[in-house]
Amino acid sequence: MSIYGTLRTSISGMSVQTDRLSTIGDNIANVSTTGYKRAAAEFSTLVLQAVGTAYESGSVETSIRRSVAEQGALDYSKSLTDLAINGAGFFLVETSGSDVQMTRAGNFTPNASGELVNSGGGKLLGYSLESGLGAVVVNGTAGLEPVRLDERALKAIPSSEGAIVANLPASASAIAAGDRPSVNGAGAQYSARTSLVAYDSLGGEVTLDIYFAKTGPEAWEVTVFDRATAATSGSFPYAGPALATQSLAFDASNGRLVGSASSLAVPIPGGLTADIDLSLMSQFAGDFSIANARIDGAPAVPVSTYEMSDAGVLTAVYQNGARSPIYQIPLGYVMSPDNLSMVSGNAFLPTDASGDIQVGLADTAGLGSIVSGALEQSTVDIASEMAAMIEAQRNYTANSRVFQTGAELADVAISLRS
Amino acid sequence: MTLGSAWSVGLSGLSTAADQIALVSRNVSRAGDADATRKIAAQTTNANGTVSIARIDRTAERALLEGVLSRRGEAGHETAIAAALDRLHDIVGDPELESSPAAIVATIEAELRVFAADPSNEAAGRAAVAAAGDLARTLNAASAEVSAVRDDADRAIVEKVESINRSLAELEAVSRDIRTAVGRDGDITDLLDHRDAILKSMSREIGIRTIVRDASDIVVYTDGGVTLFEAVAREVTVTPSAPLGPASTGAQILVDGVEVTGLNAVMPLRSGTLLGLVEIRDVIVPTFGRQLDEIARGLIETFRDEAKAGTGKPAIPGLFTSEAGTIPPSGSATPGLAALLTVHAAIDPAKGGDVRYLRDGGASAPGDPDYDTNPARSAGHSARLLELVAAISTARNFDPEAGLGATANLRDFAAASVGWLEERRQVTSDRTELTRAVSDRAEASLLSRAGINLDQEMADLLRFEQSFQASSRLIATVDQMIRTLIEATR
Repeated sequence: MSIYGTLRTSISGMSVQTDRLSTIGDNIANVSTTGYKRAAAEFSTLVLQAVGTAYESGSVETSIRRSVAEQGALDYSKSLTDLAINGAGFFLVETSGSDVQMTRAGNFTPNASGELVNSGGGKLLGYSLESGLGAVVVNGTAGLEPVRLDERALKAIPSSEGAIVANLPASASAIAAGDRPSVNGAGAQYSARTSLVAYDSLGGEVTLDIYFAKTGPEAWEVTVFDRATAATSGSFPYAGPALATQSLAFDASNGRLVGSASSLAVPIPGGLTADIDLSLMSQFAGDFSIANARIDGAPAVPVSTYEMSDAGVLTAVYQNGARSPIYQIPLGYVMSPDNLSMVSGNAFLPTDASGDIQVGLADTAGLGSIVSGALEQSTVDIASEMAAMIEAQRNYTANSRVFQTGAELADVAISLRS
Repeated sequence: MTLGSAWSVGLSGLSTAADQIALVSRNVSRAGDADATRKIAAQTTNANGTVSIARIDRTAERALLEGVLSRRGEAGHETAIAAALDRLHDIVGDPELESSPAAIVATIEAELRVFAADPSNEAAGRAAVAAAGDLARTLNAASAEVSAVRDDADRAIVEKVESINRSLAELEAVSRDIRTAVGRDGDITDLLDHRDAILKSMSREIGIRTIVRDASDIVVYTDGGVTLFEAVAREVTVTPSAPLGPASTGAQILVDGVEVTGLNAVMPLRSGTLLGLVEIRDVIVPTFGRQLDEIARGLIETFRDEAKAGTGKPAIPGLFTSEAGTIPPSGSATPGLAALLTVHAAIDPAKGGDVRYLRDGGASAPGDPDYDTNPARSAGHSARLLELVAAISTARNFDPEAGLGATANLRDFAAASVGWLEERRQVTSDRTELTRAVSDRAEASLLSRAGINLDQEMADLLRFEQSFQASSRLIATVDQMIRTLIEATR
């Protein structure tokens, strides 16, 4: 037991309270920083082995904890490139000349070249979906590239799939074999006709003329022509042969389609082969009436906006309403997020204690979902920080009193000789 | 839950209430607009307890709108026909009045009887010829009006087709905006209102049905099932046919390359002004025109001069004639005859003729004794006049396609024609009133279900004002609490 021991102890006490005040200062300063994770000072004792009955006061040391795994509240905004993670994952970003970093700060905005950059200067990384949605291999950080939104890109979507749901009039009179649309004669007759606008590979409009002709009891024939090849009258005879012809058979007892023929493969001139589903066609006594007729595809137009799904698929929305996925935004994670090391720019780097960065997809394995139009707020609560500050101040004062008392005792001991 | 999150919740409450009030003001500014629907903000609570407006909805009533569209088409159809029948009525006149062909035929008969009673009285003869002149002029005018109504209908068809094409182009533009806005998650309610307004105005001209596809996309068909709008507007085409000759029918309307009017149409139109105009042009008015032609032909036939038996000469026109100067074949209409009918120049004193030919016959062949019934020029010769009076009441063959039966006497046929027109007019006028009432009723119920109600908006305004006040009170309280804490650190 020594007075100097007591003085040392109180100095360490003051020192750790200063550390704590520093964390509080940092926290309060970052109360509005998107994706900030609050720091907390934790203390541990350093004990000197006592000899005999004497008590040797030890000291206290600080270890700083960062609650990286703590979820911040989501603040909703109107910007679609404001992203937040609701779960355990991290966005993967890169800054110029650095390794891949992890961040929760999703306040991205496009820079001059269309790359999404957050307030810390990190460029969002993702897998390009140029070659299709299923082509992504989630395999570490290899293959990641900065996500680039190019507003000038034109895109056409060739038609590949469609459906017609319609009632064919059961009372229609059958058309002789030689007069059917499939024969493509000048005087061809039909029971009903409709048209759909499809798109070729370059986004050109291809109007499909679709003819329905009754061929016999409960038997119909559907024939598709390309309007562009129609005679000047806008109808038969078409210059080219029918794009597709299909016989349909209906059940006389319930008016539903029977048999295996339930779709129509239409090779769009200059485009893909569109599969038109006819399985919901019916034949009741009634007028020809269409309940649904659709075909996908879109002409070439620039991008209107982008949207982000919960699973992290960034989709370009074209001015015609067509959508095409362009990037898969993966999420990074480590085994022990609280041991990540924090670097400037709201970013974290892996350490030995945290484990290496692993990459997964949003909405899988507890990584959480990506919320578009929201930002993760700082996890700092101003009220608890203020309360902690009051506590730190009181504790510091108490330590200084111990020092003062120890110093006074030392003065008394020194003055014994005079 | 921390003071910080209480602060954000309060803040989100403020901004949401402000947005709601902006929406109320939008509704109020369009109150009374028949095409405006009520806009409602769908408010959601987010994960952290804040509120936000997820999207703007509108009180759309698809089924009621579909009802309005088809009712307007029916009303448009009947209204167009009623207007054309009224025009014919105005020229032909009321059967009760003396200006109708039937009334003038009766006048001619009466004047002939007077002339027959005193064949030496030239004034009586002149009166009979004057009545005949009235009849010829009435038929000429009616026939000209029939042509005019048909030509006007054809021109109106061309105009309506153009206006439908314009509406379709507008619909295409609005639909493109809607698709883009849907992609951007934008507010599409005003665009949808605009689209419904276009559909409503178009539905009066042509009967339409609509189906809604994904992403608020719409497909429009005619009520016969032909595509009018799908992704892009289809073309409605017609070749102008005016001026139409009496025997010709106008060109048919094509929608998307499919004939939708006429007898050969596989998928015909069922309602709309356009259909009404085509029926006027090709069915109703031509039928009436054929009746006029048959009256004219009946007059020439009734007043013809027969050659004496055994001479083998043909009958020749008497009091009434046409440019052709021959008797048209019996029992079938000669298109356009009513326009050419005149009183024979040899009889008409106004053209230097002599009423003697009416009494004696042979107007078309003066000096030919085979047609002269009074070679002695007896002033008391009344036999031929009495024959003519009898001929008016003699049953003869008429064209069944005129819609008034195959045999009738001239007087009855003329009366039946006027009756036919009046009956059609009555039936159409009743149907017009009925379809208009049903259409107005459908629109009123759509408006009451989907339209803007000021009472509701005012109640909402109060509610949002209170919510705004409560949120600002919350923020003030949180601010006070943090200030207390800051003061405690002094």
